[in-house]
Amino acid sequence: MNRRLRSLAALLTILALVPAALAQTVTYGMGGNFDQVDPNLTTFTRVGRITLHVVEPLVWQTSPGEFAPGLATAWSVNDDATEYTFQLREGVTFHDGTPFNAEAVKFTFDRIVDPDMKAQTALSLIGPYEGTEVVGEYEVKVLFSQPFAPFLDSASAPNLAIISPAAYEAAGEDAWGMDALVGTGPFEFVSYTPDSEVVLQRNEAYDWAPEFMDASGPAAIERIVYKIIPEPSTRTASLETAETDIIEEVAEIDFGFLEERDDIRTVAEPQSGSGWSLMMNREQSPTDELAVRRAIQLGSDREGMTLAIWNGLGQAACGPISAVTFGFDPSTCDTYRYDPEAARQVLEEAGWVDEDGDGIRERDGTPLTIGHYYRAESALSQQMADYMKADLAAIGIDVELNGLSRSGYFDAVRASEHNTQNWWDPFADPSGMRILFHSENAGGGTNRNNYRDAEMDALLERGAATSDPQARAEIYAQVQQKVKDEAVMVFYNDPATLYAWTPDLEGVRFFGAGQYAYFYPATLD
Amino acid sequence: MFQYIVRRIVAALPTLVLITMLAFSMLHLVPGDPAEIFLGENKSSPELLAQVRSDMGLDRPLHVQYLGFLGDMLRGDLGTSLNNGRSVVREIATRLPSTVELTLAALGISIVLGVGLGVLSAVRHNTWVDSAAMFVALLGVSMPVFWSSLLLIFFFSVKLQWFPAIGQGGIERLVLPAVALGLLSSATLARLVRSSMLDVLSQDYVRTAVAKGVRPRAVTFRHALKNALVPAITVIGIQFGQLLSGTVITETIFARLGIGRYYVDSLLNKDFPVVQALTLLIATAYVVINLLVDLSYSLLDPRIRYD
Repeated sequence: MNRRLRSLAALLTILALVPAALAQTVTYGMGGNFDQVDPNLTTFTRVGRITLHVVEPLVWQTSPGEFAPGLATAWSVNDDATEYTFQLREGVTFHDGTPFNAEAVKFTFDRIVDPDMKAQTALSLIGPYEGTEVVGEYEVKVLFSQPFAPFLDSASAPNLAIISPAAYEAAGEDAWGMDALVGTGPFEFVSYTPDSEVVLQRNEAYDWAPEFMDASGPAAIERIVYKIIPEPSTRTASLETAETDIIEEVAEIDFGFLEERDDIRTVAEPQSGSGWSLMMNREQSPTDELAVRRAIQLGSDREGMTLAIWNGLGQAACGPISAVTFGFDPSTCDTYRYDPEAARQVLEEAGWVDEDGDGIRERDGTPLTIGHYYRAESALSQQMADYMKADLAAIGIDVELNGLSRSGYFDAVRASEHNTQNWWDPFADPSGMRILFHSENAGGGTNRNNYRDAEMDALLERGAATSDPQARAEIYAQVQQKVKDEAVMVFYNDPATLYAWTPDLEGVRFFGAGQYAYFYPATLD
Repeated sequence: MFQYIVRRIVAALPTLVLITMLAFSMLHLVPGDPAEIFLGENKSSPELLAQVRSDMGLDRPLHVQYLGFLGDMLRGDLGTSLNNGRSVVREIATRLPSTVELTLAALGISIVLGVGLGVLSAVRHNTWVDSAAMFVALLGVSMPVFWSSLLLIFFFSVKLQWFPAIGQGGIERLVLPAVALGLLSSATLARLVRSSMLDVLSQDYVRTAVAKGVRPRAVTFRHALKNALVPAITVIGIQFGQLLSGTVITETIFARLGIGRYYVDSLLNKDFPVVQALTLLIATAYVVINLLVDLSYSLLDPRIRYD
């Protein structure tokens, strides 16, 4: 064969192989950037979405409050929820060939609480962690200094997934989460190009799929490529041109027409935790006054916002946790509903009246003005701010809009200069409400309501210390009612997590109330 | 000539140092603490914040930070990103080729379209061809890049399926973003080339050439265009710099890796070392391009000499 013919033959062979190789690659259109691919240190939910395939959790949460074996096959909790004993799965190996065992669990958890690591989300998930006791090769006891009932929920999050100690030592802290990440999952980490993509490939040795997954052995899919496509309309276009097989964070405006197409599948998974809301700062006048907060609560048209801002997707929110969160109290939907007339009356009774006829109420010569702070680069924050301004103008409150850059915003709200700011927190367990309402998080932390209430602190601590689900739900119902009664925050919309994908991709499972699309059981035609 | 080049390079050094100093002080004047941004919405204690600050080296006095940066830079070390701890040189190296590729392609499109339309409308001055060409140029100037980018994706990727919509690598992924980016600057160039050509075409030597019976095509290209290009080259040089630093929107929409996006993200995160390095890089590019532009004058017009 002459040279030209031979290269032609080679080309044809490659061309014949390419479609076969591509057919087994799932290309995932990701909505934005993240800082690293180390699930134990990151603050980005997106990172967990990727790494759940690489690094496995001890347990899986199959529905709110329901747990199934993962790397742990069985577990028990002592009565005051300070000791969790896990029996670990035997015969599991990390991608580097080292065995998974009790030491690896201890290593992972100890690293999360190491102050030098500056772990964030994982650190709050691991709570009052005291240490891990290696009971045997395949048994660990995780100890807490205070009762910590939400730990099973935490252990099911990708943030607490178990890494290979040997691989970590070999790679070193700088390369870990950038060029290396080694776990026991059905996919191995191949590469991460910041701003561009993450590539995973099938772990051929995978033979320890959890029973509930209804699949065994190595995954059917060979590769997953996560491509970062920040512009929502380009993400949609990439699905239409088949450059991606599945996209996340579908633009609300595109979702309707994608839903109607026969050649595209969509899902709107309701999020758990707290949806889009408004925090009201008690350290600043006039939001330190119950009447003003109540008026904002009654004067905010949640249904209207859901239609206008979220294109009717998700639900108008009832309270601090969404309907799919464990412990949700449906009675919160019937209290303090949108009622602008009642809002006006509350303000009148508190002495806020429009004396000069300019539409804005005054009291003792001071106009009723609140300063709203938000991140100007976020289109969603801008829309919420605009809607809020219009709603509150209708009841005589003037909203001063302060749209700032990321850095200016953090400076202002951490220094408590705001009256109001938005929040969104898709935590899985109701104990996540601690982030919003516990006084330990006030004063520059996450409780930008700067709400300090001994009774609320006690309720939240009791909820975290109670293992019995029924009793926990009752405690968290009290929290939800108290939040609404005292108008601590206003809750706008419980959003849905929106995905769209090609029908060729079948069997994708969603965990964490839609936060994590999982491809191990999936197939691609 | 060689001496001239050396002189120019030496003269550029203080400019570059001044630029790093300006960039450094402006970054530190703008409110916002990189450590706080790093910690984000998460719970943070004053101790944690102080530790992050000291890890980032932000607890040192400003002049110490600046001199440290200069010293490291002279040794070729641009530091590590505050955001992910990676070497800035490496981070830029992964993104720069794709941006340079996009910039050159866009510049190519801009020159072909700009000079073409400009010459055409000057030669066919005051005809419908002139009006049509200038209308296209007006459209190019007025159309925001994000809008033309989305339109290009809609027609050429989704509807016609001619080109992929996202990513980098290969000519087919370069066409749409380069067109989107090139359209804008081609319009400016077209208007400039047109007026400059009209100016040259009315000169005596052109009239002489026509009178001597030189073919119209030769008059246009050999006699007129060469001289009309001198001002255009200056603009092309500036445009190269603008394109290089102005790729952020195109890169975001077409999901391309690149320094434009990286620059803006780093500014928002106040990732000082990255912003410093990119500012220096783009400033250097401007200086080099300006030098090349100046040198190219003598090629176009032998009367211009550098001794």
